[in-house]
Amino acid sequence: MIGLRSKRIVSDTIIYIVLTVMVVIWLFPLVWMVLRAFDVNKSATSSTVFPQEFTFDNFKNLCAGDAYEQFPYGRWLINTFVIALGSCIISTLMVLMVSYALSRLRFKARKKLMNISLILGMFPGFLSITALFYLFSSVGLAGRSDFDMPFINLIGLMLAYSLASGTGYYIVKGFFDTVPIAIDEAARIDGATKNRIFWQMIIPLSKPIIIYTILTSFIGPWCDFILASVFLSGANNLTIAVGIRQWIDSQVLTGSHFARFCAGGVLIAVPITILYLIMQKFYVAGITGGAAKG
Amino acid sequence: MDGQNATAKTVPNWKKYNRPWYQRFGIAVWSYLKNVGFMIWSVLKHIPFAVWHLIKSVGLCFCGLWNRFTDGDWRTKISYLIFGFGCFSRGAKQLLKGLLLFAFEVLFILYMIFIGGPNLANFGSLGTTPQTEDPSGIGMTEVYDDSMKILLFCVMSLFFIIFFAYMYVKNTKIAYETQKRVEAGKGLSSTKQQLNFALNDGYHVTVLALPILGIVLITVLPLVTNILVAFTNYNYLHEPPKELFHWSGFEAFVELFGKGYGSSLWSVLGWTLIWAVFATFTNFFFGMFLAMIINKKSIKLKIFWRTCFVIVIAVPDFITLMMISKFFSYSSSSTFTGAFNLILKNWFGIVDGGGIDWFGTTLNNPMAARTMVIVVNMWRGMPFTMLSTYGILMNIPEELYESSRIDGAGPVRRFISITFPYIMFVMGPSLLTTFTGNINNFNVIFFLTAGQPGQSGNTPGATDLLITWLYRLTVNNNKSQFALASVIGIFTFLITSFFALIVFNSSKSVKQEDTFQ
Repeated sequence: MIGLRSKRIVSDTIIYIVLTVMVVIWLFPLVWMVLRAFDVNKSATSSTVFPQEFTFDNFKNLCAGDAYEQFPYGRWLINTFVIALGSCIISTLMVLMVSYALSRLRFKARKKLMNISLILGMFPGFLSITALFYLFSSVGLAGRSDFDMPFINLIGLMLAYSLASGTGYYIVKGFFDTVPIAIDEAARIDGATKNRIFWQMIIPLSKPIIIYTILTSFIGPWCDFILASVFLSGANNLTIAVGIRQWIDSQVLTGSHFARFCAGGVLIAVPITILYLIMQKFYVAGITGGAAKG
Repeated sequence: MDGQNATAKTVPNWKKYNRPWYQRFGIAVWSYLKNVGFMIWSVLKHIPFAVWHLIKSVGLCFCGLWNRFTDGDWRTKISYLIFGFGCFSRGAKQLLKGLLLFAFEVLFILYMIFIGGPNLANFGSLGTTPQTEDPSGIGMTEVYDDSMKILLFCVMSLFFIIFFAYMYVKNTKIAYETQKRVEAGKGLSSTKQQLNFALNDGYHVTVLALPILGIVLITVLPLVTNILVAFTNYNYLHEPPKELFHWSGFEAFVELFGKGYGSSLWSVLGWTLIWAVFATFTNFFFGMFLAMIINKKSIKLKIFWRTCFVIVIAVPDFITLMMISKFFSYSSSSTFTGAFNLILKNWFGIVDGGGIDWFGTTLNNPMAARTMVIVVNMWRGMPFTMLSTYGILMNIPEELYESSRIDGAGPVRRFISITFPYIMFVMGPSLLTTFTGNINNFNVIFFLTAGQPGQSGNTPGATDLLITWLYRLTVNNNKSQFALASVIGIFTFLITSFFALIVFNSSKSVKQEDTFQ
């Protein structure tokens, strides 16, 4: 018995050491970024790894620093938030409706629709990006750099993110499939319409997967770069991802904006990190739940 | 429940082949290719049937149209010209329904007159009058053609015409059925009953109408248009509205696969596949390993360990990846070099001067760049696998382990015979999805190296994937090649679908979706 126990202690110690080393490696770049966000030294290069003196100036400068007109981080933050929130609401509704129809209702074209959406998913998303931009700009919802209506571009982008989100129904449909059909039948006998069953029975029963959908469809546009980079122009109209990319390409950044860039990164990471930590258990449930059923 | 069955099935399979590993590997590859072959064959052999089916149903449609016309009364006959006439001419109950049908017809006709018609007329030439400087000398002309818009609206009109044809048949059916109900002396349904139908038996139409409209507009329409662009000469020399582009057949295909870009294409494809294999499997195996050691019973602070890794994926990837690229940056002078080189120099004294050029951008080292991209991708991707594997591990029935322990199985045996098959059963399909996702993994490459090193003009760099190359050919490029980019996109689709076919057929969800209901 003692031999077995000491063997276990040895193997556990090894595991703890491995885990600690890995956590250090995994978190080191992030810790470095957070510390650099408070650095007095604003340039990308320094003679020491960690900052020598700390300050809050970088965060203050995000909302009004030098060259703010060129890199208006505050505006980007608002833009990103508006887009992410708007498209999150629309996509969640779309996904829920499609999932309900494909999971619960039986109609002739059902299998065909599912196959078509599978095939559509195989096309690389930005094969269609040029035409999509043309489509939106011909209705005046994209590519406008006039400053009198800055929000028009954002609305266009919001619609482009969310209107077609019905194809991402897999996980939610997988969840709906597990809700017993007996519930529907009982409600049908009591005379409820399918509409009522959907809103008053299925939706309240699917809270975790709905929260999961809301969070993922918020994070998607919040982090997206490709579509935004094509749709948006004019420093004031950008989202964080596009703006920060332009920032990092500019010479200013390596010279005197690097600490501010880190501060901006930390600021935008905080809400998503909190969302992820909340989402952890839904994430596990969502992925495996969906995967077990395909 | 599923898992237990899976293990019961999988375990004998693992023992069955008493062969060395390379033979088993060969068998696996062979059966994979065989399956793909069979699948392609089974798709192909359905094509003649599908065509025949299509012709038959169109024929039946016309027969139905004719029969209903000859059998219909005057109201039904007028419905063939004026939508919904059979409904709204029969009284207030059907008024709303009839008027909606009529409004649709009016909308279609207006669309065809003002947008559809003029654009369809230009479909062959894709426009004749480019935008030029205004004769008066101020600004640009206001009446001009734009090839891309013409193409886009032609496709849109095509969709609209198909939908109109469908609605036309539907409209005659409705008129005919209404007539039959009246003739049989049954009452017509009231507006309230029709609304109730929309919320009940016809609920799928109500719920799906908006999402499908969205998908057609945002996904299908641009997709078809951009596929058509592959058959034109749309590039920086023919950029509408100042210079129009025209149909050019397979020229762009010839340029991409032939002398023009042939060698770059195959090297990019090779790297894309290598990248996808490494990115998928390193993440999968190391992530699984990580989940297993965290999940080990005697390990404490499980949530703490898990959270540490989750934080890494919680930070948006465009931030972390750009930051990492600065973290590993390099300069030959020690004052300008990145933080990681400083660590090696100041803390460990391993390197001197500027340190090592990790991403090979300055010293043009493709191998370094490629290795680094895969390593950083592990940093980014392992936590994802860890999270999902962790959930699966907790679901494995404990009895399986207990009985195996009684049978005297060691930890390695338990992993090979229980844990791994179980994880593969659940993760197998998603593994292939991850693989196809990695073929199209834009962010990691774009934000880390942007395809460097070795880019010049439109020639791809050492770490460029098909997808990042496509992006660079089109966005913010003064030598843009839109037609070429479309061909690359189609090519990527073919490759992705080759692998996705497997998921499509092996995924049990399609067949067993009712299991849990």
